[in-house]
Amino acid sequence: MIVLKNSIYFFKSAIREREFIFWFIAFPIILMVMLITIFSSMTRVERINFNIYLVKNESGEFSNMISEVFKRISEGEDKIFNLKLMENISLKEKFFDDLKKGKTNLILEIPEGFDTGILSHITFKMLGMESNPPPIKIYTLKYNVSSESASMIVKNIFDRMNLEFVKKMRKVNEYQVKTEIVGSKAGFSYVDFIYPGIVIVSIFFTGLMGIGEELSWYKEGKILKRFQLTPISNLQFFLAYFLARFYFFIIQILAITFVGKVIYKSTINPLSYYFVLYILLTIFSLSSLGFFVSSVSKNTNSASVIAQIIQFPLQFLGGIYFPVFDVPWIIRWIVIINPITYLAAGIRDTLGIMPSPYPLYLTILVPLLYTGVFLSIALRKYKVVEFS
Amino acid sequence: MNNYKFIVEVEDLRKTYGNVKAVDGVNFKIKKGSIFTLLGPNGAGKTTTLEIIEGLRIPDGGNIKIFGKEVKRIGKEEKELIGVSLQETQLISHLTVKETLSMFRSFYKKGLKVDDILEFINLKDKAKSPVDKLSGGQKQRLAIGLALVNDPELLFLDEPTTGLDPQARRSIWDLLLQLKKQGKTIVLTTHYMEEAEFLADWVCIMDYGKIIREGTPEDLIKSIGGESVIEVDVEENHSFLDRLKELGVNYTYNPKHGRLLAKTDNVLETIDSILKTARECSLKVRNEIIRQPNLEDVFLTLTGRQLREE
Repeated sequence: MIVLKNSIYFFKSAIREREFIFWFIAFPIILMVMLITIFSSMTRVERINFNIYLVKNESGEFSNMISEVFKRISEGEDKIFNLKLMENISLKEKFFDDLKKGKTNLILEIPEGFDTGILSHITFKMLGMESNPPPIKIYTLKYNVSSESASMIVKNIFDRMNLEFVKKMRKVNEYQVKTEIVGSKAGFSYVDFIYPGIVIVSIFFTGLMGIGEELSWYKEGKILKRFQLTPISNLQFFLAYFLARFYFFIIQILAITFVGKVIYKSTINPLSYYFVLYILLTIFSLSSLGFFVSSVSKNTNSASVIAQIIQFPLQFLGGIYFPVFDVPWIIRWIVIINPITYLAAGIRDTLGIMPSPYPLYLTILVPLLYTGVFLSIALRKYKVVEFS
Repeated sequence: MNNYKFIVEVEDLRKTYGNVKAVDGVNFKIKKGSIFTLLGPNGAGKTTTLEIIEGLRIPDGGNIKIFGKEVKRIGKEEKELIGVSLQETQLISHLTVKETLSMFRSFYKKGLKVDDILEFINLKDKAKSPVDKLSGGQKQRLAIGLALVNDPELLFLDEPTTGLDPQARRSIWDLLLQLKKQGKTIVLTTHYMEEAEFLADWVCIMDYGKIIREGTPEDLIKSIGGESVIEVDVEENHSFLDRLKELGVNYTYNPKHGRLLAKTDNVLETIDSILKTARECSLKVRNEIIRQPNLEDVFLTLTGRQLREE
């Protein structure tokens, strides 16, 4: 009863603070609106064509076959390439300049003697002798996304051609894949993708600053000392305080859900049983981080510094705003040890937005582990400290 | 629990922080229904002593008996019977005065009605004001109100008037005298000698973690001798001061403020000696004051320093 009663006082104090309302309710919504406005255009489907030069310096059966394949997939409305075919011409510096300037995304060269080479390779292979196939040269621009994407497509085309060729040469078992559609999901929606991220960000901010920094202020302003002088126990105090923040978390989630569902027509179902349970885990986990920060900081300033240090890497390398699977190895370790990574993946999974790339047990165990560690440090610190 | 003469008994209390002995073997006893004052400059160890008794700090050594019961650190039972007002008053922002009192009232099994407390601390018209909109004096009265929510037998007030204007200070003194009339025991720390003189039944003067003298304010003042004190501003001059000593003037000189204080039973003779000697040494004497001795003089006599020098 005492916990419940006092949680209302703490809640009243928070809800009456304009800064609190701005940073922990208005700001996540503003962030959500901004991100949706900026990134939702990324989900518009547009056909991409790659410009490629095909330099054909051979006119045998194999090279004609290759050039025919490329010509066909460069025709019609569904064409992949804008093909420029050049025959019997030596590669010039100008072509490489075109590649560098982006006039073409890739240069494919079928060199002179390619057909002879292929025939020799097949003959040697049939005789059981070792032989290397003649090369087809592909020129791309390193670190250029379009060029590297075009290169991947070209490689796939050659893989498919190789397979067809092998199938004709030998008896190859081909497995038929039976496909059954068991359900359907609307196309990718950035609103759906960002919704769980914003929910996590708002809980994260409230945990880190709304709990971490405020409790540090309570410590610095000797408010905790004042509570310690009364018969209320530390546990009762912290439960009442946490409960007040819990009411706040519910308001935050309701506000974000309202914007997502009503204004942006998100398809998420926030009443999903798994989502609600996972949100509770997220709240416990990120609140314990706040208690931890307040317990290890001497005053509000140091709490603020610690919160900033924690906030940036955890927020931006937690997969909240964009996927973080392919970040460079030098920062990948932050992604791996970051509890937000697992919370973001887990929450998206529970909402059916995107399957978690991590096993289910990790999306539960990692946040639980952090909660345990943070809470035990905080409880120990608050137990031994003489508030001064 | 009620069969005791002294509500608090402290014996050989010790607390050290690194090399600093904050409390160095403190002993005292507090009579029920009295106003007991710890008087001393900043850093004398008053707050640490109080916080050990209140259970906020763990002593390195010594014994504490509170409400007739020996305790290492006070528990819930004792907390129900004490009220504390801390040195600095920070409260939960955005709660109103009434909400703050109600919140603290809810921590105790029994206590006073919030409206009665508001009336007593004279903040009824501010009941709905947020605590961060109160003036310094109003905040301090609220702090005393918070210490009273459980109708405690024993009140600890740590420098309750520091930083307040004379009028606000006076209104706090009135509150404390009313509480004394109600039979409450008040433990007060202060570095204002006039506060101790006005309120205290018993004064312990603390310096560097030790109690250097204790008694009633009257006895302490009498103990330094002299019916009057003469204060004058005069430049520091060794031959002048040596000559006064030769003439038998009982004085202390503060070179920082250029102020000479002389205790005497014969005002006319002493002032004549001071003026004559100053003239002989070609010194000008200004701002002459003749007054009764006070606790400040006691502290000065005992330590050679003034209470608020630091």
